[in-house]
Amino acid sequence: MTKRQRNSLIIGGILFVLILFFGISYNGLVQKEEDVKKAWAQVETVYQRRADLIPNLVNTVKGVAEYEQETLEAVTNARAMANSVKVDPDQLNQANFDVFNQAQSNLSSSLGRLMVVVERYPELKATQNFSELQQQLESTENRISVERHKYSETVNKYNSTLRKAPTNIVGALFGFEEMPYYKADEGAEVAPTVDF
Amino acid sequence: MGTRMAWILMDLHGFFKSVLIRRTRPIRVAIIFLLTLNTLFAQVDPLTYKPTSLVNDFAGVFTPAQEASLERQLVDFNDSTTNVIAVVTVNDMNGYPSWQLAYDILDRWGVQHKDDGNGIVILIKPRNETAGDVAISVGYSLEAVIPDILAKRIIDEQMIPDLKEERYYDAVTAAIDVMLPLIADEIAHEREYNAIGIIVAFMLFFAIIIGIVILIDKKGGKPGSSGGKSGNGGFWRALWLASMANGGSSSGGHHGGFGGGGFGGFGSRGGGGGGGASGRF
Repeated sequence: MTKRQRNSLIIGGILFVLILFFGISYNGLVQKEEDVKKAWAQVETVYQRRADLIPNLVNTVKGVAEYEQETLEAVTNARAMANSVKVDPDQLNQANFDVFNQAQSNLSSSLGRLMVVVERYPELKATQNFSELQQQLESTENRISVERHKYSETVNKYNSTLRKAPTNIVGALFGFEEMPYYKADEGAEVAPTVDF
Repeated sequence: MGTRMAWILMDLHGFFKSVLIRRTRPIRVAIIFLLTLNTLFAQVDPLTYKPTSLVNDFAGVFTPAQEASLERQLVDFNDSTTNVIAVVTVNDMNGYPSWQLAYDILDRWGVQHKDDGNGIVILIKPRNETAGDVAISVGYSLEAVIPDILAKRIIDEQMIPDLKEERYYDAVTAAIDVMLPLIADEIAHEREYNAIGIIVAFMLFFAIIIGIVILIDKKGGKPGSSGGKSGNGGFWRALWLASMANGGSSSGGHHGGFGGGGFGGFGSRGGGGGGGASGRF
């Protein structure tokens, strides 16, 4: 074996290892990014689930509490707003994420106000229809908190992989970007303080 | 030069050895002391606990007989349907809302078969210094048959009346009696599919063995002896081999087996999305 042959063998070997490494890191990032998208879709699903409960809730309250038009309208409007903001998982960035969550937290707070108002109508709270809606709303809030938490966990995995050397080189080369996530207390703050 | 180096090295070795002995002994004593303390005042954190059974009575509200019969019932149900129901009691919620702790248990223990999301956690905190809490957390796949409202109704109507009277066992069995028939038909297809797979695998296995035996027989039978006789012997030999194979695999046993078997184990992490309900008493 000549010196040249040996050198080209070494260079070939190094190239092979590099390509292998890039391929594995790239696939790893793609997989983690897909996980984030899936988790985000799940977050949107549970928020949608809440939005779907609202018309029924508004109608039930309307039947008994006619004088609360303003509060009811606020909820209906906030719901319409929240429904109009959808974030395609492929366009998940900080800006879109913030707009979405702003709309959802507006809905949360107007719902919270409605629930306070409802306290004045014991006859409403006594109906089975309303108590079932209340129960559904409560567990939907639980689901929201669960899915937000799961989403943040997945993003955390993705972001830390993306930041760590040497995967960060692959990330920068192929334009992977960090994903937005829910900060620690945000979940607690957004969940409405509906006292059932 | 050489001897001097060796001398220094030996000295260093002795130095380190003495440090190790001097340092480790108090540390070791301290560790042993702490470990003893820990076991004396152990407070089990249900979330980091590695469960091996379906009934985990941290609060000690069941008699051993009740716990055993509950476990038996849940393991049998798990064997026949793959659905996993875990019953957990705790003395303290540690500041968690009850639904959250029930969900976290479902999630971290992996209360499900593989990743089917077919688990349920029934969590009870008996009434002590603080009010009693009860929560049911339902895995993804069972949410359709046990929606939140039904979970709430089970808690309010089946459990709370008994819980108020401190009849914890009755409360749990009442809840289980409602849930079992509802979820019995869920996910069970998975195991049937597996059974078919196992049968097909066995048939293939036999076919190969019979094929091999016939081949060997043909080779051996060529010189001399009559064809019919050797074919017959090959068949019996194949049957014998097959029965061996069968015996070998069944003694391995994949499920706990019917009667007497323990719980086979939990699935992978996850499986729930926060569905279910909770209540106070």
